[in-house]
Amino acid sequence: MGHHHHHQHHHEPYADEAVPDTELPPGDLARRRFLQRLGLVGVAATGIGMMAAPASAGTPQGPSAPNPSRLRWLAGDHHVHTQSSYDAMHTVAQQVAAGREHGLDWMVITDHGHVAHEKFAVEQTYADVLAARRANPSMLLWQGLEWNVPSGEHATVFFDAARDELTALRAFEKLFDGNINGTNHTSPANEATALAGLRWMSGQIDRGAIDSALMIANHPSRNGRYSPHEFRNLRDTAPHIAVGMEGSPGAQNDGGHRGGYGNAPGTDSWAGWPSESYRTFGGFDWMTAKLGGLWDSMLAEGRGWWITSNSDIHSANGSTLASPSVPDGWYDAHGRYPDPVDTGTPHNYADFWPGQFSRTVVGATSHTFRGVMDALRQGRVWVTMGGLLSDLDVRVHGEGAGQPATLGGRVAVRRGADVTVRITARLATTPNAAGDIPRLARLDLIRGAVTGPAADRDTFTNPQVSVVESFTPRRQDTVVHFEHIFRNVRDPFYVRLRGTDGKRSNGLEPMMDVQGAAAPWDDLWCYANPVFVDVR
Amino acid sequence: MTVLGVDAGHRDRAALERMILDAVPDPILLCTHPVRHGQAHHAASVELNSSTATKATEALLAQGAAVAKEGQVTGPDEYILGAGEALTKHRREGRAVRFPNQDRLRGTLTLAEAEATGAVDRIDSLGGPLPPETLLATHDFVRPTYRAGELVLEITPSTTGAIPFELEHQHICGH
Repeated sequence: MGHHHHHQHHHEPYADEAVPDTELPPGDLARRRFLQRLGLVGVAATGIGMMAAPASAGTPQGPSAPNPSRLRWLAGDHHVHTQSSYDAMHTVAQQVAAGREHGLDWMVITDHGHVAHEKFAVEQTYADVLAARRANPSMLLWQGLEWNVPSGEHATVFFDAARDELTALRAFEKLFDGNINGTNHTSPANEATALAGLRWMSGQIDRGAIDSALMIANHPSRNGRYSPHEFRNLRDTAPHIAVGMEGSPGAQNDGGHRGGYGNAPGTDSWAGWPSESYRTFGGFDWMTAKLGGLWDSMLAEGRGWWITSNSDIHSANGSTLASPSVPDGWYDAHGRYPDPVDTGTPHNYADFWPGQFSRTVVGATSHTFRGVMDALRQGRVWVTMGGLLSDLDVRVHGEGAGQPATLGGRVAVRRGADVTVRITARLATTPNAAGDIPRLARLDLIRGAVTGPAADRDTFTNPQVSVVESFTPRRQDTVVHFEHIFRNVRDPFYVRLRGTDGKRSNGLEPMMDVQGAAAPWDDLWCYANPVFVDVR
Repeated sequence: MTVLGVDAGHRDRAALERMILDAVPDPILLCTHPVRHGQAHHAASVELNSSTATKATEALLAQGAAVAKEGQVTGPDEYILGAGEALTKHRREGRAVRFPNQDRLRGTLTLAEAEATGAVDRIDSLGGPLPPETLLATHDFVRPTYRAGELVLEITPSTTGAIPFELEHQHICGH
């Protein structure tokens, strides 16, 4: 059915099981070995049906899928700015102390790519990171980068490198940041540069310069700059690196528009997005919030594209700190501001501290850098706002399929088998940072059809998506168990979860946030990444 | 009445608008159109009294723009395509910067009143339906868009009622 040819168009040969090892160039063989180590590419044709075969992304349920019972769920934030960003002010130590106070286990420092940052600030920030690690030994703290993706938007990029953490990161910024090399604007040539950046990272892994790398697209709809085909190209070029997008942006306390999402299409925007996509819905980016929208369209391909939720903190709301006054041109000359000054009075700022409002919770096999990165790469991730959920355990059992799959995973069943989804959620029992104990009103189980590779790389809809069941916790329950059985499964699909405090919904759907309201605590949502069900 | 398609490669849309309004101070209708081949930028289509078309064309050509008119395009090669596209899209697509009866869509008025001005064909509430008595605060800045030939003003919910989707002051930088 022309399946192989199709793959060669869209996937790198090293990620295509149909291409034998012997036909791969030497560098590609190393890439394939790396993917195989991660369980992202099969060793050979497995005899599994077509939907399970394109295993160049997503996480096939195989030897590499961990036992869900043995996971440690670690909360974090991969989008944190410091005084080394041209538009931010907090020190690394302040960010890490706040993250710890708000219960985070891991954080990624992501200052903006910028000429002065690369030139002057990378080493100084690293010294701060090392000091913060010493002061907070239980915090897994990375120094990453907020990459100005050529032709696209911003993205979190971070590496795992036990020996030399800085060299590759700094080289990447210098070579591929759109602010530095002037490739920010939308054009086919700049799109190609972004993909070259991913290949470069992949090459660093092959050479052993770094152990692994991740790229996650930030505030994807804010300016409509990422097109669907850019996401697909990023994913297909480096499925082991480009793994997803922020489901909700930071800046949730923005007094104008939640998330700072108040723009209209600009010069570099993709023309296909509907206007509503430029606003948040229940604080989430439209790409995630829209049922049957971009996210579901990506998942319909049967491959991983995961969501996260972060603070994107530049200045923490309620903080008494303020940017120091500096002469004009200070940042350009230093790549970093002096420490913020304490004014003694709290300020209204757009952002929450790391972990104060939004968190990304990952199912790691170990409390290590690698453990967290593997969990993000494999989609074992759920996200929540305002402490709406304390814990979430999702197991998908396929009849005759052995070990159940959890978030990001997949089960393969015979046609006609039953598939059981079991959910255990621990609800909030202690006040969140606003002093309320939020109450989960509803948990929606969403099913989407897996229909294979998108014929149109710019498609952003999956019409075969619906809420199959809405679970309602009983008033007194703090731990809830829900179960849903899909009987006589005929076709591949995925399931994902979405929950809310129920304060603002249009039917079951989140509503567009209201300009000027700035009431994020009164409209809380949580989302979980999908589990795929393959049919043999 | 004459329609011109204009492209001078502007990435700065406001600068494009200023260039056109300098050459055509009182257009009947001025729309901007995104151009997506090569480096992303904006072109414009402008509808004006035929008596002023020749002078306006000369002024725009002098600014380095390509100008399309009734199937003929003059000006720099790299902008010929964009100018032609803008002309084709006039009154079908695009974002209206100047349009008839624009001065009636000022200040704060109810959605019913805004519709009654006739300045736009339709008001679309992006966040879901709003009652006709909802107050629309225009802040004297409205940029409706043509959707399949209809001029549509998109609005979003605000604490005071509704505001236009496109705001004059956006924050593109930061975060």
